[in-house]
Amino acid sequence: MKIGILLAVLAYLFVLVIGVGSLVARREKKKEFIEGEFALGGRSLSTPVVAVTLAFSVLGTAHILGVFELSWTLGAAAVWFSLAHVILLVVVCLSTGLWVRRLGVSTVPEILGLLFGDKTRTLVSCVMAGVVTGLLTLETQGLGILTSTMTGWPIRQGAIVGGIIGILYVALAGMKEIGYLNVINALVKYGGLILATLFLALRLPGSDFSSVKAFYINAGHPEMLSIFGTPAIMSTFALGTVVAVLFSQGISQMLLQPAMGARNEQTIRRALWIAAPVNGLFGVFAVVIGLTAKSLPQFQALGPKVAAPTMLITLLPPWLAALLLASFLTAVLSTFAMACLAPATLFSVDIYKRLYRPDAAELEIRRVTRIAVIVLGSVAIGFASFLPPILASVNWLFSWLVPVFWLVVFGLFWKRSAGVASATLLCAWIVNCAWSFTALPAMLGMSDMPNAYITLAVTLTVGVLGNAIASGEPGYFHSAAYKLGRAAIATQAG
Amino acid sequence: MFWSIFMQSVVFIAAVVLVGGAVDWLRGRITRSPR
Repeated sequence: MKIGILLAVLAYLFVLVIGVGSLVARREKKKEFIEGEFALGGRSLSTPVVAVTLAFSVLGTAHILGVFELSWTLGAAAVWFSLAHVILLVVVCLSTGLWVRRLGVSTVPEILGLLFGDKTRTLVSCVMAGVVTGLLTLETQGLGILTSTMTGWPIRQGAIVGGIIGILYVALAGMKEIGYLNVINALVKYGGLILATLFLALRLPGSDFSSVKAFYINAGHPEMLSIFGTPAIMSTFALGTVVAVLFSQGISQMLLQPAMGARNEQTIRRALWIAAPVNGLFGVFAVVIGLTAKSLPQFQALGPKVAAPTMLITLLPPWLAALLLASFLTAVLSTFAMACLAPATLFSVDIYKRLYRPDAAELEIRRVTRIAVIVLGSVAIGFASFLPPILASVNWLFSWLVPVFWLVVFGLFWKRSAGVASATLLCAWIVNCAWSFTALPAMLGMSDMPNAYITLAVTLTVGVLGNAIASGEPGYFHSAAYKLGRAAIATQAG
Repeated sequence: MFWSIFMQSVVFIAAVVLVGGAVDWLRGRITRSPR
């Protein structure tokens, strides 16, 4: 067990979480509870907080441990996992994020309710809460891997300890604290990563990465040094990742929650200029570290999963290794926190308040959200200890959200028909499950086709044909109710 | 190696953000409809 590193990481977390938590709590004590304060930061989040929370919400296990592993086989093209998220952030900051802020909603299913009625809303609420909880179990695995790197414990035990730290992290304050913590984490992580890359280069022959470059050229794989890899990698991995990430995460509660809590629409637009580079460039450092680990024989022998983290602990000075591990842990923790808070908010606002306690005060909703965070976190720890396969799970989970994205686009801009919406959702979800759990892909000779492509095809076919044929109300942004609402806001502002 | 991967990524990120920003700005100029 690396006691020194472990103690340093725990000290960092303790100072950060308790310090920021008590500061935020002291500031908030004097204020009265406002609607949406816990989950949405009172809709007063500033540009840096929105930007960094957006950038870090999606910067979790897959971005760190996943990219280390991917760069082993794909080379520098693994950075497309990060670049796909840059395209996603452009769409969120210039489209979907603005729509949710303009509509003044607290949850994504609330938009579905506004567009297609209560039945569709409940259906999407339940599925979204399930999908994000599924992703939460994967983040818990990530926490387990990092905890086990520091302690030498098995990943299962690491997941339990990591999960408990994660629950404490999110249950203490809520959206505002996570927002502030993310700003501090961003600085520490980037400082740590830049220093780590620098120190890593100094430890290599010639004090730069030329030996790594020579390794891949001598091995006959110069394409592994370019982010454009080979045409095959671009058409399968790069494009496939862009489609899956864009249409599933573009409307996810986890990513849109910071946009819902933004001060105004301009705040979200400005956030893009910080969020896109912060998120995108992270992948560059992860890829370089992954490529370096493979080029060094003593770490190559360890295999793609643990080579890079072990190399960092071995080659870097202990203080930097501790700082880097702490910053990786906080990155996974912020994704864990958002993945915990999002389904908890869906439950407290969309199910508990709407169906059972319509007159519940913010204080009660806050308490229910906290309880939901603890229950969901515990469930995630339970599932994570079974160690489900990460990539297959992500592929299946992401695809559940593809029809939701397109229904929102259709409903806001084209036509609102509850029947077509339900039919599209059910068809896409049934095909998604059939694609993962039956022999259908093999029977059609399309075993390599990812779930995201097939759910996208079903969604567009059923959604476009259904809306073209069936009657329905005009898109919400063209409706009289929306125009009246905008006029009232303009009058108030004037 | 580091700088070539870094610069390729920076150019891509800058291009995507600038194209997105330009489309958003143009949309705002041309139409008054919801963006």
